[in-house]
Amino acid sequence: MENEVIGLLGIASLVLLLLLRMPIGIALILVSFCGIWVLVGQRPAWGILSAVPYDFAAKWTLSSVPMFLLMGYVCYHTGLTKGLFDACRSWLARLPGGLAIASVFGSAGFAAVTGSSVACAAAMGRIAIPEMLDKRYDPALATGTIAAAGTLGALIPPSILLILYGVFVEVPISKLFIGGVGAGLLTAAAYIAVILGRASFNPSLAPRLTVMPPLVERLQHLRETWPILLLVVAVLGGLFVGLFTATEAGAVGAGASMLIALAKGSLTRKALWQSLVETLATTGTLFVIAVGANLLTRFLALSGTAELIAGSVIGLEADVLVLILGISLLYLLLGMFLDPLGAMLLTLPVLLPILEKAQVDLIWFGVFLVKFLEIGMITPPIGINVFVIKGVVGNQVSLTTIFRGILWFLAADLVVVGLLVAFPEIITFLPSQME
Amino acid sequence: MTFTGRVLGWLVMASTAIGAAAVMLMMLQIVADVLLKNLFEFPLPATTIFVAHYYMVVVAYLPVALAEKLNSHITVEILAQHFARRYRVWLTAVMWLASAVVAGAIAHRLWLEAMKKYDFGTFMIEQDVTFMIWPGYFVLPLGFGLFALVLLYRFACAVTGAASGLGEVVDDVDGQRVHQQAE
Repeated sequence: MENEVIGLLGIASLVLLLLLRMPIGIALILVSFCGIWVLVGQRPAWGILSAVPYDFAAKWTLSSVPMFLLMGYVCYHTGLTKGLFDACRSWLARLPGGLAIASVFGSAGFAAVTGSSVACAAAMGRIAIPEMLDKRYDPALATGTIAAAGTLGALIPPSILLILYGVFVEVPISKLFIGGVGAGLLTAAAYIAVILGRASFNPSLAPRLTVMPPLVERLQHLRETWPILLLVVAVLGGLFVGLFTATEAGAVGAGASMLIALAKGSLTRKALWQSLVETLATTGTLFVIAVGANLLTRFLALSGTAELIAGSVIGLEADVLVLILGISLLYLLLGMFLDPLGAMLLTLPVLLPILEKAQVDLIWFGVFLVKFLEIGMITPPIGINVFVIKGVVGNQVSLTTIFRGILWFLAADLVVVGLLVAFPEIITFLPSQME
Repeated sequence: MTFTGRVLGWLVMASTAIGAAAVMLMMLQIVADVLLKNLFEFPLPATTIFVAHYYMVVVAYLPVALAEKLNSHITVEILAQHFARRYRVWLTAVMWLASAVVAGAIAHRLWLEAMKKYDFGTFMIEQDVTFMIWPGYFVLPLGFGLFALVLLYRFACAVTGAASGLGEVVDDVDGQRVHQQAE
């Protein structure tokens, strides 16, 4: 049997095992190991299996993953980011859809301390949705806003997806992070435009608040946000001017958020323990998949399948734009069913050679990819952010209502994606200024 | 059966506590290194070795079993959710067994590798100081071994119909992954 055929059979069995609900990481390891065994024999296969897990994890770069996770979970469990929403709300109250706009701002702020959109949606959902429902906002608008704004969590730095992408593709994480800023802010602006437009055309969706909180109260709210703003500026600023590596930025951020929470009296033992447990569980899940993806890359390289697929795709002599369109369609579909992390690590081993051959800018592609994976977080039938919001609202709002609320934001997302393709500088300008 | 589950639950708890300590130590050492480096131009020696070869290995692989206990390992739900409940339960059990075998085989192999590193006395040198890094290699078989045991226990519970003593929160069989917290 030809090597490429073994590779293709490997991919087919991987898909089968995944459909049968084998955990993604285990399926990746099993298929890659068997494939390598068939290709080059038992001894090298065991050799690779023994070496890869340790060599993969024992790295300085990857230690930024648990550090940024910890920072996000600490901010979440100690309620550090509640002040952000309060401040935005008191200043934006009188705009059409003011509360929803405030929660987009709040999510963008929370995104700057957390690397995951699930945490972002859960945190803002707990704070903002009850408030919006209480002020008789349309439930679809209220829940849809938060589910969509949660996706900013993985776009605006820090971002766990971008760290893993950077490690796999071997591009600097700090450049990816700063590239995410443009795409994240554009997304936030698009969501705000959607809310403003909808609330202006149909004021019953978001009843306007008539009383503006007094200036003293608004200034008070603003004052309460300074520790978190300082944290964001110090951590991300330090990373971008080259004062910190990504790991150091994460550790300093986690340490500083613990100190702030301690000063505010919200760092309870329970909050700290939960933050640590969730950091560990997420890291554990993630590393098994990452090791599997690493093995798959080796298997596909050994079999020549990745080259074959890349060669065939490039052989079509399609325009780069058509290629990007094809990849977008692939991720839109995968995103509907797969967890973003799984979707990214499953596909990168195959896609990377294609992208390199087509000379696509890998920083731009990383951010673009994360944008698509995040769209997958809010598309039916498996929209993880939507399930998180459902968990927050319980029986008050149905899943269908939440998905209905998201439709407008999805339309905005497609416009954003179009802009990112038409004007790649939105992503690449800031990284190109870094040296 | 419940007793075995409780012992396993306790082991997972112990591994979580060690992992939590590693996360905290990692953070403290990096912060101390950053402060000393920037304030006194005196970086903490061997921080990179400690972070990569001690803390990271513990943080990445010891909690693999914890993630299984909390149902946070990622699976694909496209096809399985359309099966009748009876088949779904059966399929889940088979996948638990298969995953346990894979995780067990990995653990066994990584144990042999760790013994090899122990025999060599694998070390690293930074600024003329020798750091033994072989102990880190033993974390991997422990993490994957515990993961295999939890999977095997779940399979056994599913086959015998016994109640699980692990203290899980969510019924994984229904195929909806809900963001959840440890109890």
